Amino acid sequence: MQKYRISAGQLIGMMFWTIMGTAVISLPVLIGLHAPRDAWAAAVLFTIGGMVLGLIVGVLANRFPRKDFVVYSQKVLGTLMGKLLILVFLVWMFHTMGLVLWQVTNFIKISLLPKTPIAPIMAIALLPSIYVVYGGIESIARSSQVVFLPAVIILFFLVVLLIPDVNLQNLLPVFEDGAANILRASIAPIAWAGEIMFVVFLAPSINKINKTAKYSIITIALIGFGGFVNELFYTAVFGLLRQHASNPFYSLIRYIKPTAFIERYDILFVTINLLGNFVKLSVFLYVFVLCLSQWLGMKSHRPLVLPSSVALLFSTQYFVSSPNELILFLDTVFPLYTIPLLYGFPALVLLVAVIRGIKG
Amino acid sequence: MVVKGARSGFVENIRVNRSLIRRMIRYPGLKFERLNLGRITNTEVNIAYIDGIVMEGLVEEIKKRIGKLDIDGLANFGMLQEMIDDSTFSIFHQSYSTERPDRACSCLLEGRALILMDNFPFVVVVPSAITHFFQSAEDYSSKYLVASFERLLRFVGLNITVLLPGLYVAIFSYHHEMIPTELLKSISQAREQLPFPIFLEMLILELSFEILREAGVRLPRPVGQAISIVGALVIGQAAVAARLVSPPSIIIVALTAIASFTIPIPEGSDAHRLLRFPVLLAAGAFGLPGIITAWLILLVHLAGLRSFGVPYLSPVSPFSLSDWKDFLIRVPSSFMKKRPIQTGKSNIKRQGRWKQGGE
Amino acid sequence: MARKVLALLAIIPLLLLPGGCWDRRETENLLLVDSIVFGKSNTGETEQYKVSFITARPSSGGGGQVGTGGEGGAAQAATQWEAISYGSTLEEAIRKFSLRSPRHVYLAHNRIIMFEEGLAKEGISQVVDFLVRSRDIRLRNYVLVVKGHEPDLLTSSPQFEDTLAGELFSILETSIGEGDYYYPSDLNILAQDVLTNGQDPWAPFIETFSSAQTSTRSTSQSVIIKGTALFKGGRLVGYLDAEETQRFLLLKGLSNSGIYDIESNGRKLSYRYQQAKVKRRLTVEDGRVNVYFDVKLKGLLEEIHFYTNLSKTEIDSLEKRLSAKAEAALLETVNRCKELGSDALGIGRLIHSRKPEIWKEISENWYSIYPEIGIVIDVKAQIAGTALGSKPIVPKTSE
Repeated sequence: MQKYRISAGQLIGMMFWTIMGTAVISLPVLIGLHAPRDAWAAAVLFTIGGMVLGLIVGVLANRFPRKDFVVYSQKVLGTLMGKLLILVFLVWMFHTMGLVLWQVTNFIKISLLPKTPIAPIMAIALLPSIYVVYGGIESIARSSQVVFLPAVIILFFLVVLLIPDVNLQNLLPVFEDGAANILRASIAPIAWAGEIMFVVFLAPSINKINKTAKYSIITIALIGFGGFVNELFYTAVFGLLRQHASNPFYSLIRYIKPTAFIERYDILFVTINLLGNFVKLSVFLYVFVLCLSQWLGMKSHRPLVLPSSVALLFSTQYFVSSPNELILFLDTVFPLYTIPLLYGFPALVLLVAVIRGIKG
Repeated sequence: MVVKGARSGFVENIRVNRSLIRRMIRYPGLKFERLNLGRITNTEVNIAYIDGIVMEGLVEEIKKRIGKLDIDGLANFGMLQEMIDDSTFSIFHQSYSTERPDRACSCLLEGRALILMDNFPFVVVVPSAITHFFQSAEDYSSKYLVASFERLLRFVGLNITVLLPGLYVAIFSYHHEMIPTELLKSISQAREQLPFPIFLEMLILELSFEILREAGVRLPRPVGQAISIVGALVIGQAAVAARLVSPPSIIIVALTAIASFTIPIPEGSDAHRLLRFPVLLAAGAFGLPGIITAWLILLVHLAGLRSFGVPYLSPVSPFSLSDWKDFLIRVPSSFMKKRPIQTGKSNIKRQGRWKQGGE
Repeated sequence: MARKVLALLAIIPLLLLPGGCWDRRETENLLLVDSIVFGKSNTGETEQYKVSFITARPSSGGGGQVGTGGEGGAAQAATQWEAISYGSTLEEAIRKFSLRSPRHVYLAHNRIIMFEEGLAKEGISQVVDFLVRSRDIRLRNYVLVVKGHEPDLLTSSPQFEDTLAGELFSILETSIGEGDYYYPSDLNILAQDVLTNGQDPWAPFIETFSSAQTSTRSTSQSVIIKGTALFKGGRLVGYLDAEETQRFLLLKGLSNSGIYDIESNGRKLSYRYQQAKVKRRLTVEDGRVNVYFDVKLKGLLEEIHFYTNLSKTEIDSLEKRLSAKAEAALLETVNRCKELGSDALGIGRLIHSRKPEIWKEISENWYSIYPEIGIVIDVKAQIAGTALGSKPIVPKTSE
């Protein structure tokens, strides 16, 4: 169905920001709730979890090369079971997309346009994604590739500027928070890492399918490293104050001041954030629409794009009522159902396929 | 204007143009396919290419597209460009034109094809990509460092053309915390007691500049000088003195205008000058998110655009490192061993290895 | 068909344009607040917060007169604008400014935050909390304590910059790296210190003074940074003067240079160190924690009013005496901190980071244990040479 082939760089570009997009908005707060001093340790567990899932995804992609996940999961698990699980997945996707859209919109609203009502902001945040998903996987892959590298370089540059303000003593004593707290703090990141399983939907279009696992693992490693450095910096620069910042990354950027004149880098951070979340929303929307169209047995995903987006715009405001509620939700309830779904579903398909000896 | 290169140019006679090309490329593989276009005008159209180097399938595709045209005649070659484009609605040309034989010939060597039209002193090059917004034939006459610097300047100029007015409006209308305090104070003082909000002011100024520019194109030379002085100095000066607009706005408009002239091909500069208006509108409505949304929509559009099968965003998007050697910078000639990947795939090597300097 | 729908969708945001732009503000409608002063007042029965703004007033005439030959410079009458507002909560006090100000109050460019003595003595944690969570105020704001009579502060006029805040800001900025008598503390550090157990906040403090100047400005006052204010938890407990601040900063590792004077053979010598390395050690001896500061100073002799070839033994003895003097001075400052009850040196935090088990036991009673903690300072001063390049000018006949 899709004749375009995604290259390694494009895949990494897409998946990096798919996970990182809201990770820079919400994760620092979630981790800081439980392990303010040892937050960086949560990044390690994130990496491990993500890599395991990346492996599973890679093996699956290899086993069923060029076949759509929706189709072969039904073959493996049986039509009824397969369709049911995909439906659950679709519901999860729709809801989570709403959460993502809400997070991005809220971030824009708080940091840039406080008085503007949420609806128009949501519309313009989603608009480019609608356009790109309409264009298909080729447009998504290309635009993500363009966005990826400059955004990462700028992020790196911004963080490096903060080195004079790092106070390493803030990180001591190490492991004071305790293993239990660190584990608790890692749960949200591990849920985020689950999003790497979207690769399984993109796999049929990847250039070198046998390298899928490798690409996924590289992506997770990059994100893990980035997360590690970020968490390190939040604690080192802000100490215990990080728990009181509603968006530590943004506060960090606003704090940069290497010279007297060039002091305000907000604009860079906001730009990168919006660009990254564009990729995230696009990939989410694409996977959702693709999956839905395959589940319904349709030939092309195009007709579904517009209705899904409109439905999303309308329902998002009902998903979340306040930022605090969202944080609480993401901390407690969200990982509870996300981790089993995102990790369990592909693992289940693989397991059953191996047991039943089904190959593609 | 040609600084350091051949000053010959194509003329209105297609046979002369053909011979100009033949003089530069003396190779039996250089072929010209002849077609006739237009039921009534019967204009002779030639497709020039180098057999063995040209991109596969390109010539057939061009012939097919021209063959599909059912028209009386063409008013201008620009219409031909528009008609054989992959995507007519895009603001960007998917081919570009040149009147210099040396540029046309280097395109041939890259695996591209030329379309010559009788009665017009221009030659259309297909396919095209964003690389052409930054490349100019002059680059090859200077040393690589100078040429690279100039290319980077063009890149910056292009971004300024599209984004600067929007950014200015967005930051000074919505995001005052993003600028250093001193700058904010200066501009704030300059804007005291002005009647228009920044957005309107910029809109008026930009439109006025476009009017001036359009008028300037048609003026005969002696009058042109006077009018530009009148336009720029007197009107701008008077507007500021009358406290209708602020000096920073004038500076921004002037910078934008000058930056738009750094784009080497007229097709590119047209498109980008026009683009700054939607960006300005988006900035005025939503500030920075508006600009980013507009930029992203532009990016997505470019990402899906193809020119005769070549993705418009190469070499950025189908990423190919070797093509970057001639994109925003220009590496020394001895490094440019391969043709651009998209168009030169069939015959990728164009240079062998040889040692720099004396023996 | 679908293309048309997409195009329609794209038009919707554009339709919002005329009604849109909820957030748009023109730059000339902003009141750029340069500094905020927080205080408490007892007007009436209830205690209220007193918030004062100092802002830059745009010079009259604007900057756009291109043809008329620029600013005359005479329109410098009043460049700053101050206003005070009272309210029972901080938010209310700030909001009341809109009653007086013809422009939007814009705090994002605020650079200096000042606390009045009265409020500081009662506790700054509430104000700090408000500031940290406020959207506009950046964590890079410098924090100062104002000692003395506050209204004097507002009427004092800056000598160089156009507002008082600008002046203070420049003073604070130039001090970084010269490490002398004060060091700026910003909101980030202050807030962390308020939060952290085992580290007390500190900030430079200022006082107003009248400067006897030229006739036109004879009645003006200006401000000067006098030293450091120390807090305990969120409350102000005392001040360190300029000399003590120097020692304090040295112990905190924030200072790189300073001066000590000693006498040698009836003549005064000045020693300026330019590199200072401070290492802290913790030892536990029979249930008691001791903190060791190992200080290494490297510097040059300046201000030698006589000519002498300093022999090695002389230099050695000078070094020893300088070290002893420095030790005594530093210890004095440490004791002063203990006296005031403020652990601004961060001893508690040091114990916490190096020996968390011990900290767990003593953190509850830290403030009673703190004065008893043994602190030993060991200074090694090194004289690398003299700062003079040639022979000094000495009158031929002795005075």
